[in-house]
Amino acid sequence: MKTIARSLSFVVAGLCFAVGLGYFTGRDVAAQQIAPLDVREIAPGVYAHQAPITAMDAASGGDISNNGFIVGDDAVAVIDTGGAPIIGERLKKAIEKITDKPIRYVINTTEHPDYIFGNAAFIGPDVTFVGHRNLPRSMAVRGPHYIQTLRRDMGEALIQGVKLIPPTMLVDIGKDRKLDLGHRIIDLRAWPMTATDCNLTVFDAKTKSLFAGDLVYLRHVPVVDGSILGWLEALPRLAAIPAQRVVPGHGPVGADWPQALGAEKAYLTKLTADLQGLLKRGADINEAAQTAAGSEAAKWKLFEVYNPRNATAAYAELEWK
Amino acid sequence: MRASWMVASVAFGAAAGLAMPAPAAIAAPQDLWSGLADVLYPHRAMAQDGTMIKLGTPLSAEDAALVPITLHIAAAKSPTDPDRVTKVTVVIDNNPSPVAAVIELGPRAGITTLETRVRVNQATNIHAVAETASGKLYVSVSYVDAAGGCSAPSATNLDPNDPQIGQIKVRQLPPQYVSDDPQRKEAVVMIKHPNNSGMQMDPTTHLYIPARYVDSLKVMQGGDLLFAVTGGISISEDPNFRFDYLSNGANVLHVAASDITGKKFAKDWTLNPAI
Repeated sequence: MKTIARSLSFVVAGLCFAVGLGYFTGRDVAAQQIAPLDVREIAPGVYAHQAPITAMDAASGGDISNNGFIVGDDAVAVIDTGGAPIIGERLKKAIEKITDKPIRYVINTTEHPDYIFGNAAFIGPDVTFVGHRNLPRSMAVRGPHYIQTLRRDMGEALIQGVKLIPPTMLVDIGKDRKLDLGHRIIDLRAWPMTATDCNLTVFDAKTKSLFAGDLVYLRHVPVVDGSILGWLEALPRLAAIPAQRVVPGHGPVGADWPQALGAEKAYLTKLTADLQGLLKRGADINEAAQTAAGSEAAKWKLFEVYNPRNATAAYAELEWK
Repeated sequence: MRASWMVASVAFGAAAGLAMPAPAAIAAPQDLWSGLADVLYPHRAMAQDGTMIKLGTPLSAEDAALVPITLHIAAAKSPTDPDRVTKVTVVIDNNPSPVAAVIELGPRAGITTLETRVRVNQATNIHAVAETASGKLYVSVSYVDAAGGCSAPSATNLDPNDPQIGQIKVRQLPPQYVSDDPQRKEAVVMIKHPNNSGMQMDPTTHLYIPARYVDSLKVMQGGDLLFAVTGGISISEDPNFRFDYLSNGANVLHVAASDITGKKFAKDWTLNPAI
């Protein structure tokens, strides 16, 4: 019941409440039950939630990746919505506690479920969903599978309200898009194939704060779901963004920029070099999955979960070079 | 009900793939094999003794879109050996289109190991069925747990109009993993191809991605068949086959493939005799 205000059973429950208590609407009841997400003001008007570094499962409840919002004089832009509708609801609650400015944009920085599954909480006539040009395709191709597997891993209660909402405002590669929030213009940049094929960054020039999504990992081992070579190639251009602090997709929010890129660059470089060596001597993909970048293990959380996957995907990519 | 679904899936793998059915409620992998075996090999006995075929898989799919599987095939004594394995069928029980590949092995190829990569939609048994020249069947099974989180079997990073589609590459591998037999070689045949299952019009995104996958691949050394694959959508993007073989002295590998749109791809790959 706590997951979505829109479910029929909830509406029925809400009506019963309304009858019983005289004046409560379903929404009010929902609002009472939802604890606001813990957010921190990392720069004036820029707020971020730092999620724990853990897996998408019932225990984490879908709160595994960072998100946040930027408040202008006229409107709010939300950047990512968490890995379950309830996380989106809690983020919305946190925003409402801080400002009464309307939420005008919901920006998804990538296609992964931990960034988009909270979207449903923000649906409204004056809300525009924004994403990379490739995001609608990736969402359509992968979204149904995410729902299926995460229903298994997280449980039906957390997943049932998920809506795949393709962005209607698209950002093209090489053509930054500026959004005016009222005396505050934020800059959206679409990246070529890097961590995924639909990574977007959001830069607030006013405070030099960067929301990097899955282009920046801290402590959580990077996940290569696009192109390892493309990602490495993009790092110098990413580092050139004149930010002072970054909200990474995972790990401590407000980290120094561009120093935050160091560990990730070392990992991607080591994984690439190890795989090139393995390919050269004829090692197969299984051996690569078990051994590549092993020396990086102690530096990262969730290494044993994602490194074999990264090695597998990157082996297949590098095999063509 | 179940049987008719399987017949449809097996016989019309392409159609089943096209539909990319909305994933059914997830459940523990069901034992679909007896039904599948009935459809694929009606009334035929199958030995499961590890003598002629052994299937190797990872315990868990690290990447649902790319699960390496390895077929270990008993060496034939001669091209006319009645116990020579002539055909291997790979069945991914719980995939929407279970028959992933049918692989025909050339009589003089001498292939004993063949590795490829498949998509795995959910936790599943994978079966490899070997058929010998005398018509006996042997089966090997391996369970693969599902991949987690952001891993999706339908992942494709290749633009449908990418000019690289159809590119073919052969890697000759140093023989240290194979044997001391100087005649025994190892190679990888790779085809750049999205191998996608397609997608129907999506009501929210209005996206339509037509199915496009490699349904036939043939690899020859000179005039001798090494292997031929009839494949489907369960083969991963950029189909990849790594295999050992006995060299017949020919200095060229002929690779010919086609996809369901009728597009043909071919490459004559000159072998480096020093490897």
